[in-house]
Amino acid sequence: MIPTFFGITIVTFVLMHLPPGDPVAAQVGEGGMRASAAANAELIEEYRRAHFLDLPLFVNTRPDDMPKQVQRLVERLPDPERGSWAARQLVLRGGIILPVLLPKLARLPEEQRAGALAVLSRIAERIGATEDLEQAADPTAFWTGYWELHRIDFRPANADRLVRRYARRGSPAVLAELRTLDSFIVPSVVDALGRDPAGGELDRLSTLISLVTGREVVYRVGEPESRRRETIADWKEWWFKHESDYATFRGPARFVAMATETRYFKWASRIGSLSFGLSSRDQRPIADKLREKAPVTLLVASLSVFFAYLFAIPLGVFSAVRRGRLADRAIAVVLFVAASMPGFWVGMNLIRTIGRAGWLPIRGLTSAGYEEMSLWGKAIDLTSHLAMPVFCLTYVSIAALSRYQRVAMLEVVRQDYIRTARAKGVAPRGVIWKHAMRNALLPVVTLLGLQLPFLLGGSVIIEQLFSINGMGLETFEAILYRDYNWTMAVVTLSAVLTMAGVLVADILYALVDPRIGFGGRRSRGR
Amino acid sequence: MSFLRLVPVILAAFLISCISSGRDRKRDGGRERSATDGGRPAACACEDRWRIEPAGRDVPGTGGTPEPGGTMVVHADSEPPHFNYMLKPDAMATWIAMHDVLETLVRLDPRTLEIVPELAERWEVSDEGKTITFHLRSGVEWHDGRPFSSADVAFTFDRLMDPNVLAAAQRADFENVDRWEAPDERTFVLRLKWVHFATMPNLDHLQILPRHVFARGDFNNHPANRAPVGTGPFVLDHWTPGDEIVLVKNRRYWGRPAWLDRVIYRVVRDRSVAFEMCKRGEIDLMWRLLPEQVADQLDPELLSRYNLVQYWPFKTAFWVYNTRRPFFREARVRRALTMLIDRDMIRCSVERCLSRVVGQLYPPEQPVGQPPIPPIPFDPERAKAILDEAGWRDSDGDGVRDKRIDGKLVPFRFTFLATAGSTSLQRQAAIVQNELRRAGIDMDIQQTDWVVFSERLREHEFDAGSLLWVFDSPAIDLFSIFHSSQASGGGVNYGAWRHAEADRILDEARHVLDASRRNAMYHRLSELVAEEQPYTVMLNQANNSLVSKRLHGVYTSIAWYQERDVWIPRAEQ
Repeated sequence: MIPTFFGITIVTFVLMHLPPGDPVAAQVGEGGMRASAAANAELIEEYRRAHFLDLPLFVNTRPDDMPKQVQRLVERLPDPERGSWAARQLVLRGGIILPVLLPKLARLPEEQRAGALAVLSRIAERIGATEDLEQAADPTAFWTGYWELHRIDFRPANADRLVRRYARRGSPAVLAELRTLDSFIVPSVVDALGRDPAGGELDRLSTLISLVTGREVVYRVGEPESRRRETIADWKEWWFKHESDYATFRGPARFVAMATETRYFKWASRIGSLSFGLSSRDQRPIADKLREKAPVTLLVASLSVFFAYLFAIPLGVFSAVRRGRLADRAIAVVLFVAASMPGFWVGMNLIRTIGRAGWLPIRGLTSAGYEEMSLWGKAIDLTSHLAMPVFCLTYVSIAALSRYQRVAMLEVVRQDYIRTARAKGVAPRGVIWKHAMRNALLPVVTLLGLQLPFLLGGSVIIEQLFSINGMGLETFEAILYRDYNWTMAVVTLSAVLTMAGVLVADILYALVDPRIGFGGRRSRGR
Repeated sequence: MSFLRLVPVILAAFLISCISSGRDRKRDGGRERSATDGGRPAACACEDRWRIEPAGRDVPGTGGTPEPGGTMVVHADSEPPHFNYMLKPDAMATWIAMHDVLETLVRLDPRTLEIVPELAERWEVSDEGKTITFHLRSGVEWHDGRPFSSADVAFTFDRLMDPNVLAAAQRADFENVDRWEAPDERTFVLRLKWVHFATMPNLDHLQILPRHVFARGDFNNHPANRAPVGTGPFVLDHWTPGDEIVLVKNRRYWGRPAWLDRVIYRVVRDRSVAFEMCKRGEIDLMWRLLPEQVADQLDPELLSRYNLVQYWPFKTAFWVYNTRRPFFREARVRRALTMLIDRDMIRCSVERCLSRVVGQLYPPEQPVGQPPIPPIPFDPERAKAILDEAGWRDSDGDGVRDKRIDGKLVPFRFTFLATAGSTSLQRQAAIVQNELRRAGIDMDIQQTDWVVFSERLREHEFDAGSLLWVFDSPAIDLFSIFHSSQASGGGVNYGAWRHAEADRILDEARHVLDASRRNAMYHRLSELVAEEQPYTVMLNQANNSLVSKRLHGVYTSIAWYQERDVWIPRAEQ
């Protein structure tokens, strides 16, 4: 099951990325015509980073890390249009860029150095070096000297030690020392957060990391336990997105990063927690959107499947029994006509007739003020809203299903044991419903298993027509806008449901067909 | 038995007759055109049927003394992703929340389009326009009761310029901003690197966000983006996804409170269904009717309950030519192409006279659009003569013009790129295709989805394409569309048109604060574009809405209706 599952997701992942079109393009187009080329380029880069679209699919031969990013951003500093963006990015990274930038500051080309010094003066404010910097005659010399003096502090082991000490006791002296390292302590703090810190420790750790990243998510001692877990999860989520902005991949970490810094890994590593990432269209968590839309589609689709079976099975049996007679032919004609009428046409006509007459509501699933209705009122309201959309979804599948049932029935009726039953004098009704029926259900039950993914798929046209907030429309738009995360979530759920459907069909086989049974039970029975 | 065999045939015949009668109805509105002579047809059947007015006027019969109270139901054809304009300039979100829920420092008066105060009471410009000092209104409260101060404005600018905030589109509006300060609670100072005339008008769209709400959590997907806390005359009451978005009156608003108690945005995805809901009286305001709905489906009964409100927004359709293609390189060839596009015919048969043929980019209602530049008339004979003159002749006798360029025979054969799903665009393209074929130009029509379309335009991998531009501000800086520097690297100058004088005007005019001088410069640019035709300006489209006669105090605006000024007489609440 599980290898199959991952096989399906990998294949979908590849297929999904094959068609032309970039999810970012839609976002840029909506930026409008006021945006300059530089702004568009910026937007593309921001979106790509936010949705991991800058990563390769499966193997990252050159994983990007903080030193590489700093290198690139510094090179971009002299650019008149995009330089200020690069500068803002560098200032945001903070003290962690010092070990990369300072050793080679003197060797940078003149223009890049000017930009880098402007960035460094902002970082100096954060590490408390502004006064010394202002007194220094030559800023480049000052920073080179600063590095000579402080390089011993900028070691991961040192940061780890200080962070651990501060988390435990919270002494102001240690804090002062930590502040001179600025964001260099981020990996150490994230490590500490991973060890599930208790309330007091988390208070200090979250204050520390908020201070150096400019992103304020803090836990205070005394806040409830749920808030503690939330805060840790929030920072883990942040690290998940921003690891490559702070981490340096060297040695074995580099090989790990080759696999982890990929789009598929970023996606698959969170599948266990059922977090499907963010929708690229509206930045909402996919899980939230699923929770909102899946129940609606589930309700509408399961009702339509239920009614389809409810009508199709007796109809199929009936026309098999009356094979070739007028009733059979009449049913066939009616069903074929029904099946060939498109759903949107029927739906629109229903709206223009029944809807216009005011007998049934024409949009949504509930009326205004649904919450305040009595249980009975709610049931009536929901039923009246569901009637037309469910009808539109049902009538098409009745046609196909009843034909399946008819063929299956005809097949069974020709079997020897049916002739035997007839010969021994079982009443015709008994032959059909008792002897033939259960066997004739097998193919239709198989179909039922395959209907399960349809329960979540939804219908684009009916949802559009009746303003139903379901999965179909969302999936359709997600495909149009290349919302990979939503598409993957839907495909994953469909894969799971298909597998579940096969299982359910197998179980139902055993119920309807006495010849098929569960291995264990049968051996015991003998 | 034989009757039963006939049933499907009868049904099929019935269906076909239904479909074809529908077609006939559609054709009535347009004009007939003889296929054989290709001559000019008689006058357009829908001419003078509509009365479309400039935006900014009162809807007749909706005046009177306002009375508070009542609920208005507005049709929403889509749902916004959230209300944070900084992250996504969504049209629906803008209509619902901009100025009504979330406010800005200054705004454009919806009628006159003048800059008027909102959260800033007054402002001073100093240092040759490079420093703007805003004096903020006192006594303003956020919807949650916390006081508004300059720290919130500073916070908004901090986030706008934060590289981890997905706000590049709006950041581009403020690319000239250098620094900002909040020296005290009621003062905010904006310092600019260089002066841009659009800075103040652009502030109309920069929603000021509450610092205390956004302080915690990730700005890009903060819950408050979907549950906004603002300072406006309406408060977001609730949002049931896929169903409704409900605003209620802010009773502690700093200015004159809104008249209405509630505004409900009812989500109806399908426009035909929304139209049915108007017939049932379940919607008070339906925006953006389709041309066929206006032309065919408005019956007297409906018009006895609703006003048909028609006005000209700044909404113009263009065809853009990729000037890097050999056949679109020369200005005179592009002019000839415009002459081959029968815009009057498209206006009449496709747009049902709900648009107008214009020759310029700027709306004629605006000073910058005056005097109007006349459109190039439809003239196939003249066009053919120009094409001959430019060396595009059918030398190999295959019915398609060609020209020898750099020793290679290039046929005049190009692909028109359109976004899928628009029937009116398909019909428009088919009309043009027909006319071009007669003139010996082979145009292929290709439809793609929006993502591929915008990507190919941006990468200049297209021959010709259609665009629709909608402005909700009169301060239109066309720099990004026409400047040669924007012709590569992802800029919006899709046609890659380069013109030295246009560049000079664009470079200079954006720094000019004096409106009349700037307008003269942009008018010159407009003339250049009309001469060079890097775009064919197709049609200026009207906005058509159904507004219930219950609603009073309604006036049109280039962008959308103003909920805070609408009221309902007590008798009809």
